[in-house]
Amino acid sequence: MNGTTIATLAAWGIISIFGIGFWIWLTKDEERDDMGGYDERQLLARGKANEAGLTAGVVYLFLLQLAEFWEDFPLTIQEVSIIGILVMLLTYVTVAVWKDAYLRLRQKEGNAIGWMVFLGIMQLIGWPTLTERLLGISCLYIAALIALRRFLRKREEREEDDG
Amino acid sequence: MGKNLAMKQARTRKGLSQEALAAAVGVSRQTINAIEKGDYNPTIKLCINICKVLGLTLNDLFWDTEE
Repeated sequence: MNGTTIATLAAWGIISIFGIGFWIWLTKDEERDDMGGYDERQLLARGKANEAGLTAGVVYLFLLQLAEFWEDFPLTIQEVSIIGILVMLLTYVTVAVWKDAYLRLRQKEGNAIGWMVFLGIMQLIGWPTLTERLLGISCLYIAALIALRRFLRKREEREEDDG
Repeated sequence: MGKNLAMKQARTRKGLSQEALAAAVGVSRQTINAIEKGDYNPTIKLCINICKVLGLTLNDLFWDTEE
């Protein structure tokens, strides 16, 4: 195992630690009920987000079939897989965030934006591979999406409280 | 689905914010907002819980009078 491999594994290890920490933060206030801490509207919205993500995945796989006709396809199997996962995940996250169905009832947004920005920047430091760039940009996209939705929601709540 | 003005009026008469009503019935504020704006059709269980908190009946809050 050469130095580059060790460094890559170490970097992934550090990213994983922060990723797991983020996941623990997300789930630490999980309600012990059959709705997982979400209300009925949120569960419905998350179901629609799941559907959107799966549909995006199916479309991606269909388009991938067309790539068979492309000589000298520029992406590796790993890159194709990562892109597929990101297409599904980002579609799901976009719908869930936009429909205010990503936070459990007792959960605060808190450091979600900060975590995503941190993870994104960690991926983009140095001379990242295509996969790392895609992961980094995805994290920054999620951070921007949550921030935008939060801004719009707060404005809406202010108008409601004032009106 | 039209706006649920009856629910909004009942809530404000009782001096409750959307946040307070949401906490009382165990849903998110966005859900209460969506119901009042007519963007979400609540289940009968949630309707009953809202009626209990606001001290009104299902007919008062959720019967569609525009027929």
